[in-house]
Amino acid sequence: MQNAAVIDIQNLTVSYHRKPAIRSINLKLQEKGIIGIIGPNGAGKSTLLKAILKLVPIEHGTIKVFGEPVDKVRSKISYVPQKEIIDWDFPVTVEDVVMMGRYAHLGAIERPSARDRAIVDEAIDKVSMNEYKKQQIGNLSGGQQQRVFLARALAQESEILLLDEPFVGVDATTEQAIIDLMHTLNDEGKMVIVVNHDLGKVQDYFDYLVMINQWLVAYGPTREVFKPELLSRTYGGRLTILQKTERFFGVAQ
Amino acid sequence: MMYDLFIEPLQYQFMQRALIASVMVGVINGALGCFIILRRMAFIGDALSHAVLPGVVIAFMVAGKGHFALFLGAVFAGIVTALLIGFVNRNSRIKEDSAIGVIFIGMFALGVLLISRLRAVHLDLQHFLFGDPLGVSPGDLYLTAIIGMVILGSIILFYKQLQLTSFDPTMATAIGMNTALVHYFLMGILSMTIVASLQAVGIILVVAMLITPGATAYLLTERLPRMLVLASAIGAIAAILGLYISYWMNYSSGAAMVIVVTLIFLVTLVLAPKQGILIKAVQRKRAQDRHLKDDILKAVYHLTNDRKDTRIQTIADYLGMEEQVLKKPIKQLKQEHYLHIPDNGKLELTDDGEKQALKLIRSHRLWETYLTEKAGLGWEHVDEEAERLEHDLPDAIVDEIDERLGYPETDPHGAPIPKKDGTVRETVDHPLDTLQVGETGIITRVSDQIPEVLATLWKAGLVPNVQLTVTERDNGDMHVQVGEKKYSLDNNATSRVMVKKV
Repeated sequence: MQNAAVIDIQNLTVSYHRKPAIRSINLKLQEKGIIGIIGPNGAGKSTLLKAILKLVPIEHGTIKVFGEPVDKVRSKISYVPQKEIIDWDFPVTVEDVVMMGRYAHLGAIERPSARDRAIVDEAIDKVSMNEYKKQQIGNLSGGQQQRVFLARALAQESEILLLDEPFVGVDATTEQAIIDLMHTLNDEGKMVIVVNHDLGKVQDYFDYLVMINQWLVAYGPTREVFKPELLSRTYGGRLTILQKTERFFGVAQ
Repeated sequence: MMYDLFIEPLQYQFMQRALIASVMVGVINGALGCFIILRRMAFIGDALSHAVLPGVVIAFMVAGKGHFALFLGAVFAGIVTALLIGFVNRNSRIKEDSAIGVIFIGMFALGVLLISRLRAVHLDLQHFLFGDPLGVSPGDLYLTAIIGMVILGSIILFYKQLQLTSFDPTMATAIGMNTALVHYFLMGILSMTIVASLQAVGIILVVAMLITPGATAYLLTERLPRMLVLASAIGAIAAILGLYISYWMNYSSGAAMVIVVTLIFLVTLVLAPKQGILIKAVQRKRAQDRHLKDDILKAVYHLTNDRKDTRIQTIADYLGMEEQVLKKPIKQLKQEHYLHIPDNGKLELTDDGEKQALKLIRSHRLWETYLTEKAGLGWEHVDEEAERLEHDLPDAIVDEIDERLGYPETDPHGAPIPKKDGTVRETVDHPLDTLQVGETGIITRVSDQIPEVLATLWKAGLVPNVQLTVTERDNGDMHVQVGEKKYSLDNNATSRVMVKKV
């Protein structure tokens, strides 16, 4: 689609309280395909995602999105946070949450228009949550909650979707729904980047992999980089690799 | 009567002004308080209300009792406090709550210190601390009205920002909202609210008018716009009632308002239709009743199957309960056509009763199997777990567990698992204590009622499919032989080990 790198990360270092979480990462993401970020706990997977949005203090390096500093293109990036950070007792309905996706395009005191509401309805429909529109979000199952946040990202009509551990605590149906949706979006030319913890389905889900362990270990097409040698470099001694027919299974401990 | 109570006092202008001021204070605090609650800033609200005191006193020292000056002084002190708290939090290892504690008490003490030097000029500390709505001047009223409009207007105009930064600050930042700005903006309007409330309720009690109406509304609704309206209404009602109570009974008005709003909260806490303690207790009681009825049906099923007596006394013994407790649920089960009680007093399951019992047993045994096989739990622990969940596992989940386990025939104790269609494999086993000396049997299952017995048997290797021979009987105790090993079992165990005669 674009020739310039969609996301261009140069020499990125992020530290929390002087302890580096990401060290000198250089990465150009521009391929068409779903990109997974994998690595052990504490490898900086979520931090990398947050750094793209400048949600964490960046110590060194630059990040450009569509060739611009991120502040200029924020509305073009949607972000689905990890479920744990959400207060599920908050008095908002499914509809309310999905409408938040539209806020990215609204002026400071602008109210949602009929068009915004139509987009919200459509997004809710795409994740099959129609009958739950008026439900408070705490009344939903884990899978349904994840779908609501996905609908919010859809309603934002962004060019880039960043998902942080979307498969944690969801049922098989929702997992499939998320995958299908990721593919649809990708076919429409949108970039989808997913932080993933579970290595089991990496080969099925992602066309490209970013493998990090604070440092960037590898980036490339999944079939080229999802190899025992690179995996053990990513996971250090904490990985048992089992070979089963043609496929590799990694078990992180 | 109503006229005397409510209208008559309004012939006094000071009472009119007090009423208008109180209502405004109730509404503003109620609305703003919702966001303070949702952002978990109740403590900072309390802190700020105390910390504005030095600002107010200094303004008074410089400009006299000019309302606008007092207001500016308070907002200034409020913002200084908020910034100081942020500064300490960011630049040291002191966490936010401690930073708040340190700064606000310091500021409050400074205010008290300054007031104590001012005694001579009759600035009444009492009025700042506890409010004096009857002393509201027209100037105070204008100021309160302006502050009220600014605050309500901001909430309406910036509803999006307030909602999103409270709910999901990460996304708010991601789409470019300035969350820090929203925070300090809130601190600013919170300081203003506190100034507006000084005359009506005073510094010490204002936090109750801020938090309690919102907390009450939070128990009543799951939608933010409704919560805002409800909290404002509750705040206004509490302010009005409190004012009249103070007028007629000569109580401190601020305290009266806070008592009223606290009572409204407590009543709501007990009676709220969804979140209320009462409704939850009723639901719990209903669930307990239902579970007890389920247990009775299961007991009748098991006892019938083991060809034992099914009189109410036996069932009570089986369940380890008093006969008296079972009378009512059994009567209900009879009315619901789950049980049939012939003249001999032996309970019998109807078709529906058996269906329900089998459904429970299916859920129980599948869940036990799942816990042992998939979750790796010990044999002796799973019964308790399954007992808790069998009543509430939806059918769809039970069926899914069945599928995932590959439709097992028996549970880990060897008992047959009823199928989805309600059929169950006939069992041809009997309790071990029915075997005579010299007879041999194969263990088919072990009743799971007493975990200790179960654990002992499990450890000894007396598990399903083990063959044993009775070598000796001594009243209830039995000696059995398994291969070369000999075991002695008491009647607790022999009545619970089920065997198939060989």
